[in-house]
Amino acid sequence: MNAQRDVELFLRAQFEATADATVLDGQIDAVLSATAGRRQQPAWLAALRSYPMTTTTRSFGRPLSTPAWALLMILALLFVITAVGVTTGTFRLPPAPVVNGPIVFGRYVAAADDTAVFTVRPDGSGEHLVIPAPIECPQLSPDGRKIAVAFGVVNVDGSDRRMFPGTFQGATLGCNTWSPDGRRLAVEGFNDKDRTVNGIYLADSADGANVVRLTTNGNDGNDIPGDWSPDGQHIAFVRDTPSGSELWIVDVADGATRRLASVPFGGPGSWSPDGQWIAIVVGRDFVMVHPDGTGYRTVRIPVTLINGAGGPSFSPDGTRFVFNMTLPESDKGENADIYTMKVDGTDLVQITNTPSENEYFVDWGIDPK
Amino acid sequence: MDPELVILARGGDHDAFARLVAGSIGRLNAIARLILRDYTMAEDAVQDAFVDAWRSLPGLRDPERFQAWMTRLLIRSCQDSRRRARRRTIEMPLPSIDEPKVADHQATFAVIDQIERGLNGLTVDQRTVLVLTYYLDLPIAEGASVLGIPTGTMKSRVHRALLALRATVDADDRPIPTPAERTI
Repeated sequence: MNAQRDVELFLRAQFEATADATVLDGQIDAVLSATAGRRQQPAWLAALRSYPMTTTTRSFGRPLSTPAWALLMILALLFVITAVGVTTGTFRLPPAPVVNGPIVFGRYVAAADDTAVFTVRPDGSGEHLVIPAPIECPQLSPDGRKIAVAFGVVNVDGSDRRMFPGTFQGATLGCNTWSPDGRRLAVEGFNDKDRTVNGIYLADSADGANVVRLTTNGNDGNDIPGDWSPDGQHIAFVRDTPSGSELWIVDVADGATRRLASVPFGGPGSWSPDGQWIAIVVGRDFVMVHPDGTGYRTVRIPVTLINGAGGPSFSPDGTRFVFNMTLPESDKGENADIYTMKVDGTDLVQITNTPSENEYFVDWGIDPK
Repeated sequence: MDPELVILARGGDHDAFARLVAGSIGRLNAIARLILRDYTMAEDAVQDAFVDAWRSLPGLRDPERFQAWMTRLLIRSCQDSRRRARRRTIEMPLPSIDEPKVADHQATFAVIDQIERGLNGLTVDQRTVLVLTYYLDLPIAEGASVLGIPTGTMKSRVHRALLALRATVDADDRPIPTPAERTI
């Protein structure tokens, strides 16, 4: 077969030919037996936990759930411990807070059938087209002055666009993320015809040179870099495995990898500026987990019904997430818009409002001024 | 699917739920078997999905969306089923499902056989997006809705799954090198 279309045609035929809808003897009885003794959930609880396939209205003012209360209690405890530490001289006061700058995102442009890159202020104003389609995976540099894309770098105002050599030893170099000092990029390398090259590579952010290989997927899948730790020693990434996507961490110095959690259909993760948390999307929720795999915590987006969410990315000051989300309401269309919210799952703010357009690939940078 | 049955089942009518089960279990069996490639795992996934559906039905406010909602529960159940199987030390086999029923032409049979082996080489996640798109014929946006992901993500996952399938098929097409070729 020489054309992609052939694969699609034969795939349809194959599914049609092999789909077996036979109901086994006793299967229905087994289902009814398994359900007969069970109570249905109360409607309010089922609506919260069930998948959103209705067109009912959303609620931005959801009361705090148990995890939210637990988070508040933990924060209060941390506050007390910190206050005691500061007054006794055990802790040093934190440095002056950074100022949150623009958000960068990709938007699907139907006319080009591909993605263009935009920036917008955190209050939703000042939207600016940085790079027209086709381009992918924008990531703001640590100083907020540049944007890395697949595979190259451009100034945040769209000037001085430099595309780097797109291949290295048979691997196509694609989406990437900045090191904390801004000097290196962790890049996804892949080749669907030779998956032995699939893994994460490191390259200079100035010119894409000095490429070295960091990870090897080994599962015929992809390693997709998510975010560097603030100390620059580790990178969180998503690894395709036979059982699905998993969150992994690699040591930049020696390439040693370890599995952190299973993240079915999750994104590649964002590292909090204080280095304490990695945040990923799992289904309709965000999950925060310590880099050592402990402290697994779910943060619910404060919307009752969601078709899907992507991201998240920590704000530079670590207080908020930026992410994309698709709501089921007809008045909002079926496309994702960009939102921010506090990391405790409150104070949802809608940044873009484009019912006919789809936004994704979100990242949040510092104010470079 | 009769919305009245969904409304009755949502109100706790188990007989109505039984009729919903009877009316949809065949379709769900087919989906689960295509995704999981294993009859036993598929049967368990379908049952788990129905148990979840019975408990969660009061949360389904639009009865017209029962089929899509049920499909989504099944997809999640298939993913859970696969993860559970991976956690067990004894891995479930992945036998090829039914022999193709349309293979009366030798060339077509060969290609279909390639596709079949290619599908076995994909991950559950990859097969899921392909089943949604090419078996259920869901538009990209609807498939994304079932999986709870943005349409752009769905589009790229379908693309990647097709590339993976294509790569497997191409690998099968590649002639086996002779010993002389191997030494070059």
